[in-house]
Amino acid sequence: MKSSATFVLALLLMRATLAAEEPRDPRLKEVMKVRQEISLLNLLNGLYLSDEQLGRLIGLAQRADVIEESYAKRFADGADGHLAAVQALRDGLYTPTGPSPDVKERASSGQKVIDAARDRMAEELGGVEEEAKGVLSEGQLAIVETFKPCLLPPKSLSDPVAVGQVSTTEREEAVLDVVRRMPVFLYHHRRATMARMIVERGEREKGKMPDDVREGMIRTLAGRLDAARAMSEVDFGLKKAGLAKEFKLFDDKVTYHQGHRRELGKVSRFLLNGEAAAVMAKYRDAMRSAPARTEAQELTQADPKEQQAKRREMLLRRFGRGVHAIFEERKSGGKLQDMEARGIQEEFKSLREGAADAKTFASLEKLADRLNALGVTKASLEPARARVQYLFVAKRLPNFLNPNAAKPGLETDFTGLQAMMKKADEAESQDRVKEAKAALDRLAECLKGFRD
Amino acid sequence: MPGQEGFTRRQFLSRCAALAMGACCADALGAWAAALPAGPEARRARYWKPLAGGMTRCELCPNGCVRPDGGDGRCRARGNRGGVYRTLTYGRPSVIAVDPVEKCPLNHFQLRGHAFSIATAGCNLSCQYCHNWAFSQVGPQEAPKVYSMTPREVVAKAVENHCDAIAYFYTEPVVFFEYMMDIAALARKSGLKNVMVTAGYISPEPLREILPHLDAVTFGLKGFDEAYYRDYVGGELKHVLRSAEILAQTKRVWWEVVTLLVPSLNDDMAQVARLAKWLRNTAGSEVPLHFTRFRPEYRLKRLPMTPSKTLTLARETAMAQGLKYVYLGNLPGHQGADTVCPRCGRTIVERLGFKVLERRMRGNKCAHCSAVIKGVWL
Repeated sequence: MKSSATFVLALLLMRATLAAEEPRDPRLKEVMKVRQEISLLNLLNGLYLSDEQLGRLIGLAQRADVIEESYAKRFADGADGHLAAVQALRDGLYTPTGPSPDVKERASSGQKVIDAARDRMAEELGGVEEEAKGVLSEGQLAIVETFKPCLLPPKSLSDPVAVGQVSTTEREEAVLDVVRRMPVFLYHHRRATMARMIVERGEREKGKMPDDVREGMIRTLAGRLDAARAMSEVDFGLKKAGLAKEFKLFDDKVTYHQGHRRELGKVSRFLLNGEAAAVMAKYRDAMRSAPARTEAQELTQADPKEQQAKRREMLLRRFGRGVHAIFEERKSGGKLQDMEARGIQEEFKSLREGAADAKTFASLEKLADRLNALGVTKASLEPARARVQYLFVAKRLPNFLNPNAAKPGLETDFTGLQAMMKKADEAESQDRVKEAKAALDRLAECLKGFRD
Repeated sequence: MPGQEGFTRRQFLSRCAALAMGACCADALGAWAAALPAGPEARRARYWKPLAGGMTRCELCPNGCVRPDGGDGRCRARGNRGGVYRTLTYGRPSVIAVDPVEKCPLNHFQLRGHAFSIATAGCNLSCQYCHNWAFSQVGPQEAPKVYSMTPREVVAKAVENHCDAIAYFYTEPVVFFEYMMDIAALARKSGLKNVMVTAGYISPEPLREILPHLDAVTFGLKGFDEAYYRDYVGGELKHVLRSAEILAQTKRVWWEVVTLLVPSLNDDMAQVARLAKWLRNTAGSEVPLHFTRFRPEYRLKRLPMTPSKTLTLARETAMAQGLKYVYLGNLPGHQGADTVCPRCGRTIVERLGFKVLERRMRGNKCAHCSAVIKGVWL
């Protein structure tokens, strides 16, 4: 009975349900159901409802469910008659003379009855929603109003900027920071492409723009990029959040809320229905039984500062090992005279004794250049790659090279560095060693041009 | 010959010697200058004493760092350079931002606009959960960002960005004491207020010196247990309590206290009750106390977030000790962030995160029952 009532409701009232877009596969149907439950739990976790508020909301959600149920029953009772009337109207439209006035009248009056009932139901549910709004604080209402269904809650809900915490950099801010630090030649080469990429990304989200609008937008964005680069450090530090907003044409990873109708408010849509009542009751029980104090846990002493230093050190060692491998190859190939080989060996020894990172890196670069001048072989590629990776870390650039990197999650590499790396990879896979080495060297030169 | 062009042999030799000596001195001076950070940041620090052998002892905070030439203090913001103790961060802030004053947090200190927040690298404590470790646990050389701003430029930027106050914030402002003092004096002249967010780890004398320049203080009382302070904060509670007592005696500075509750480390309700009782006895029942939620950060990544239930319980415990205004932070949406009138029990200021959504007050009074709500209101 309930499922047929729900169907009639969905069909006739177009109320906010998923029925119209339900997938055919029952497993997908189940996934959607669980997703809705997760979404509601994310919202509840962000609302910090008191036990009393939860109790009152559960009561209201149950009342809303009873109202829907009663109307659904009424609709189901009268559904046969109305279905016959609309079918007669449809069949009449297939005839050359069209439907008779009597048929039209029956279909129309039936629809009027349904519309009137729908309005009454909306009014009753609206009353319940008003009561529910009274249960929530202004802050909680503001959260509900801006909430979008989600599997993983957005940072603003799950991990907002804390009291006393330096605001975390948004993705767009990080991109702007990289754009500001780009070397001049690379920026001039990529400027238009960057603006075009932002617009294309926006178009994917919001639909194609007319050509002239599109070109205008590209020019505007390129101008804004110029402005961001021209700003003083202090002004950029103070205004970067506002600037980043002007570039917000990216999608925000929020999905699957299309298709919902919002005849009532969001409070009603998210919290006032039978399913929400059940989830809230389960949530309240879980909250009640949770301990107030967490037991002591094992502490980690992983210092992020040390971890970053270790990463740099590891890459530097890799670079050193690679250069040493070239040395061994050149030596065994008879390309180095004994005296020269002994000199290089000594240099390696002194480097192993440990100077500062930057100094060791510069010395290794010189050694690599010297050895590569005797010939470029496959062994030349490994240190060239390690050098590039070291520079990525040292220049604090988002790790475009790591496919598993969660941050910054950029879909596009604005700087074109990723494309250079791809070119090097392709050349290496096809044994075009010199070309690969040249691409890696070019990439390293670009990276070195980035301001610290 | 006198009056003749050119040099005698003697003149030539003496000039060569002078040039050589000059070059040597210039080298030495150059090396000395290179050892110092360039610009105004190499300013002579205050509150230190020279010791024998070029050593220095810093007296700004209870750490009392004794350092040889070239050594930096534990805060990394001050160091001995050639037997003179110098501030290494003067004019070199690492964080600048325009923030609502609620972020400090200050719920009873109303501003017309925002505050201009400023912080340099370094800190004299080493909280294992620091949110801002990337700036606080490094010196200016390693900080991810360093700006160059004289006190005059800081005040000018604050005015340009329509700020009503300057907040010394994010890292411990005690470590850039000289810079803060100079900015605060200029800000006061420009009609801006001064807000200091501190853990109170400072010697009494400099604290007494800075207080007349301040309008409000957020005081981070990180727990109420010596062992916790020693193991997880890197300081001693007794010094912090001494600073709080000095602050409580200074009637013209508004202050609020903030305590971050870390699961299993300082969330024992007996400790919370002791803290609240001490605060009530020291500063009265109307000093706002904020309990904020811990989020896994820095060296305490394995600990979970503080459950909201723990925070609610802490709030109830502190209120049971007689404190009238106890807030919960880092739980946007929670009603613990709202101000409730202690007389009529109605909500008079509703907040969401750092935003004030609604204020039902008339001046400094509750709009419903006219009870006076202590604080600095417009």
